[in-house]
Amino acid sequence: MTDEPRGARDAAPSERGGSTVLQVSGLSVDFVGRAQVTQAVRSVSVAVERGEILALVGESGSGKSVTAMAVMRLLPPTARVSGSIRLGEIELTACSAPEIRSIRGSRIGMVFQDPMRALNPVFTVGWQVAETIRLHQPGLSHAERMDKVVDVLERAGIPEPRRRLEQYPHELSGGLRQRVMIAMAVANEPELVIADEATTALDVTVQAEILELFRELRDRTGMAIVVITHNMGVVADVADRVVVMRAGEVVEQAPVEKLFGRPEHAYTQELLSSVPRLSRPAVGVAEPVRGDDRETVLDVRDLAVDFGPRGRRVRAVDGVSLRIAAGQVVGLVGESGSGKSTVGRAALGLYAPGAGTISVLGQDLARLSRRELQRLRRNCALVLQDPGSSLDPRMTIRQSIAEPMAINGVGRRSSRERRVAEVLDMVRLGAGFAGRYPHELSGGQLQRASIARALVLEPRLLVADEPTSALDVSVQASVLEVFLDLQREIGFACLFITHDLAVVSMLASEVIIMSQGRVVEAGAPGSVLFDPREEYTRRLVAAAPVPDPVEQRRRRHERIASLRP
Amino acid sequence: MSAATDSVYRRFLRHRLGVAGLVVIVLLFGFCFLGPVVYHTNQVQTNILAANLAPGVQGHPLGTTDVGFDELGRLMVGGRSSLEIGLAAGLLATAIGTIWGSVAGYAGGWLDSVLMRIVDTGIAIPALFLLLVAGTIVRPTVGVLIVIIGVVSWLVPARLVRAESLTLANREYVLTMKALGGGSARAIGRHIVPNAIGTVVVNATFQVADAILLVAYVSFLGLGVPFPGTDWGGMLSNGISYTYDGYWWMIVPPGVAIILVVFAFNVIGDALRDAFELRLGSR
Amino acid sequence: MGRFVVQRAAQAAVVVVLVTIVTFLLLHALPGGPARGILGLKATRIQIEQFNKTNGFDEPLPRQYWSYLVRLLHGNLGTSYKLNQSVASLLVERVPKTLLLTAMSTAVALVLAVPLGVWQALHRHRVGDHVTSSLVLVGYATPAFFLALVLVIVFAEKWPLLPPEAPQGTSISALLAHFSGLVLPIVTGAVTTLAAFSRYVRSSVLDNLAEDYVRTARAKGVSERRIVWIHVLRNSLTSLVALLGYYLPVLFGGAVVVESIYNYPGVGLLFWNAAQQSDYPVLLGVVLVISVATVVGSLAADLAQAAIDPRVRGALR
Repeated sequence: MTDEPRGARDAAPSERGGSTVLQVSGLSVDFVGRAQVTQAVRSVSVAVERGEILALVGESGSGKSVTAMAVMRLLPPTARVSGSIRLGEIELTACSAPEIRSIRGSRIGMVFQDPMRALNPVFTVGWQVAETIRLHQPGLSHAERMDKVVDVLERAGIPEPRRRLEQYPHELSGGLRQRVMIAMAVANEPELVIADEATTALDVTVQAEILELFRELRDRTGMAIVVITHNMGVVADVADRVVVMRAGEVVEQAPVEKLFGRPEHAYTQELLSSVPRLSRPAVGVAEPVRGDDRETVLDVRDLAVDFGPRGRRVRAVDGVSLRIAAGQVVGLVGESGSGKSTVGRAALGLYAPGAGTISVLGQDLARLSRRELQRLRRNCALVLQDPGSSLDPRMTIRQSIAEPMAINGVGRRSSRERRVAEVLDMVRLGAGFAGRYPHELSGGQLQRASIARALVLEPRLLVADEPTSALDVSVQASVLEVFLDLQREIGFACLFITHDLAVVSMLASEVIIMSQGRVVEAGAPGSVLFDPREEYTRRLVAAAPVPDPVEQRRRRHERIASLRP
Repeated sequence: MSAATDSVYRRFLRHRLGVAGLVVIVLLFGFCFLGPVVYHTNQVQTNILAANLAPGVQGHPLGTTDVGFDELGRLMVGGRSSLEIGLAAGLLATAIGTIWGSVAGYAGGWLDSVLMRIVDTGIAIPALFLLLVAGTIVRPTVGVLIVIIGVVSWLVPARLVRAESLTLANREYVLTMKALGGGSARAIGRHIVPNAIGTVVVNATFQVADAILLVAYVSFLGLGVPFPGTDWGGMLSNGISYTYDGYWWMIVPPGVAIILVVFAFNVIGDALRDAFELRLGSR
Repeated sequence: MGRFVVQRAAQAAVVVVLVTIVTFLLLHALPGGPARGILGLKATRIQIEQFNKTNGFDEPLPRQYWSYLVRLLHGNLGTSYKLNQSVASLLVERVPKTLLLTAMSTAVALVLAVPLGVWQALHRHRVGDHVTSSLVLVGYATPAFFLALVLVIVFAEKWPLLPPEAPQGTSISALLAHFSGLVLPIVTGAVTTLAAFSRYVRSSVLDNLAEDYVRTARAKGVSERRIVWIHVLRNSLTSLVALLGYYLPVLFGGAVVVESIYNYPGVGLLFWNAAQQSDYPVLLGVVLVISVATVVGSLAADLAQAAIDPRVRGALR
């Protein structure tokens, strides 16, 4: 397969018979707005060698995607590009429109983030892949072309390729769709493929497969691949060399092991230290004492939740049981479709269970009247994922945070004001934020405001559904820190829902793994994550990449060995 | 108001055509409602002796109608009716439609089905048909016309707001509010409708434009404002009978007025749509 | 797909029933009931009672509705008060003619609107787009009877190219034989539809141009032209079909105006005359039939959309 010892890849490019595929020198990109000019990329110089995977890493606003789009000349008309981008002997910035069109898709291929939206929903897979072949390899008969399509789908690891020709994008799973995108990008055997956050929207196990595909393509064809990502685990898993960008500038460039082992720049060091690592439970995280006398805040028994129209109901959650004691943080982990979010919402009475019982603070939700349920909800809180829609854009931060008080008729104007200021302080946002609107705040600030709203009535139970997944790595670290501190201080019970094993290992005293609506395994993080009993858990843990290339390589070898019959 | 609304204003003002439309509307309103204060004419008593005079004759800048009314003054009278009915009916339609649609979209399930079946029924029956039938039953007055046109027009906003409401009902802040104990009334009143305001306002301007056109059609078909009142549509259809006599001044002014006001409202609606959408797209 | 069809058909059936209820209630909303409409204002109470008895208007409402429904299902829509014909036979005569005219003006409008909308989207925010948008908007803002007037004056008076009135033939072929007389009605009907649809196409194309799959197509090296005409348009067309369904009632309503202006012997003119004469059976018969036609048309449009859009098709397999 593809695990040559690191030595071969450490060799200098020229020794590998390589040459520079892409040379970016002094690239600057400005966006000309109505009132101002924004500098997105400042004098960036990067070289991509043949047969290497280069990771372009940065947080949002770093300019990594803009750089990639500049190479393909896919920037909007408001962009002003200066500097040089050479593909071999051609200066891309000086090409005419027809020239650049002939390069796109034939010498440089591109893979985007969300394959559901990046593929045209009304054309078949076969048609879309064939289109790129027809554009750049004219002169083939229809049959020849379709044969090539089948061939390229197969090389991208798609099973039953001929059957896919007539299928539409929505009929395929996320992983298969991304493979189709990759097939489209490599159909004409380009020298360079740019993958912009290609695995961000995928489940961890699928991500591992796609990264494997990248390695395969590199080894088999000598293609150069630029992987743009914000995920350091992905970088550690797949990259040969790493370029770190921040605020439009290149901050550090190094081979992958050197970057992770001996980072030079302060920003790189900060970035690496912010990444949550799968760690054995840290000191201070409360260990559950089984059968203790602490009050049970949430008691879920044999929960089943069904969705869908009558006659076609799907059981999203099947026979799930869990118990959260006062002050305890329970992590609920699963991939997409596992039903974890459904459990979280059902716990707050947002979904009616098809079977089973949910008791909050000893009261069975199903037996409560509307009024009793509302009174019970005073003690509950919810924090959701998307900073863009977790707060009502038309309300000030103060109004949003005060809303729980307004709903439950707590306090008066003056006492509410005070409480809002108090709670903003707790999440380390100054009281000055109270009068602002959501669109004026950054992602991290919004999530903290969301947490503030959740805490305003001193809840006993807080359900947090992927509260930091949409945030940048460094921001995530600070928000999690705030969250952890508050949990220790206030002592609310928490159902923390996430797909990120590393995060859960930092916070939870008990971990529950879910898959396809059922509980697969549950227990203390030390055992579930480091010594899993179930096959699924093992695979999940093995597929999650760790931000350490040497360690990651070892894990990869282990994983592949275990997959072999 | 809020900083967000502020930027909507600013974006609107950047649309030259939209601003021009707004200016036109303001001027037309001024003309129709303040005009008679400055320029008195008798619009109640006919004067056959002064019928069909060409513009400029006997001090009538736009000539006179077939029964001797001063055309310019008639234009003001007609404008008042057209604008009043159009505005009131358009706003009535928007109000009913918004409430209906947001309840349907938020509630979902059987309530949504029932409400939307009713809307479908209303949409299936062509408005003009209903208006004509209604016209045979009831004597049209300005008030009656407002109600009837409003009732016939609320269906489209209902559909639009429902679609918007369906999307908004799934926003995280609505879900969170529910989890904290908030009820449907709060969800609809404080979260859904305010966030659908963009769609509602834009649609309102188009509703008003359509209502003015509908009034014109209704008048043409004989069910307009009763004599001695009139509206631009009525003036137009009245004048058309005199086309072959060459009395163009009875036709062109009301026709141009209708085109102008409908055009202006549409252009304002387009500009508003851009102004609101940009805000949502900035994230 | 089967389930979807059944569901939509059931919804349509419910709407049709509701429509019959509406028309039935309208019949009974007339002051003094239909009796007064026929016997006139001077009818005495005894005459009215007699009339009601003979015609079954004195029975309880639900029973009357039931007999009404039964009559409908037998194709009995009543008899015109003023013309000596059954409403059903009148409709059979007139509806095909209206359908002919409406279909032709809609076809003309669509054939022009789609390329126009696409062109505008391609040249968005440039002079051509602004000018075209304004012209199109003027067309929308012009009441049909005003437009008709202008057209008649220009094309029938000043330059006698086309007849000012529609042909009066009794059969479709007779109408088509005098095609020149159909030109102005078709154009008048097409203008408003053209305005509405080209605006829709323009904004739909613009919306789709912002989608991710367009970026992918560009990254493949596809030309901008091809992106708009093939990648984007195919997506816009699916929603355009649905729009057509919603637009049917407007089209039919417009028929009343166009037919009365040009004296075209269709159902719109029939309706218009009936309204002048308070010929209720005709009025309500037309409302019923046209509304049902609209519901059926919308259903067809929804089904067509499902047939074209693979996402809808696929999800229901």
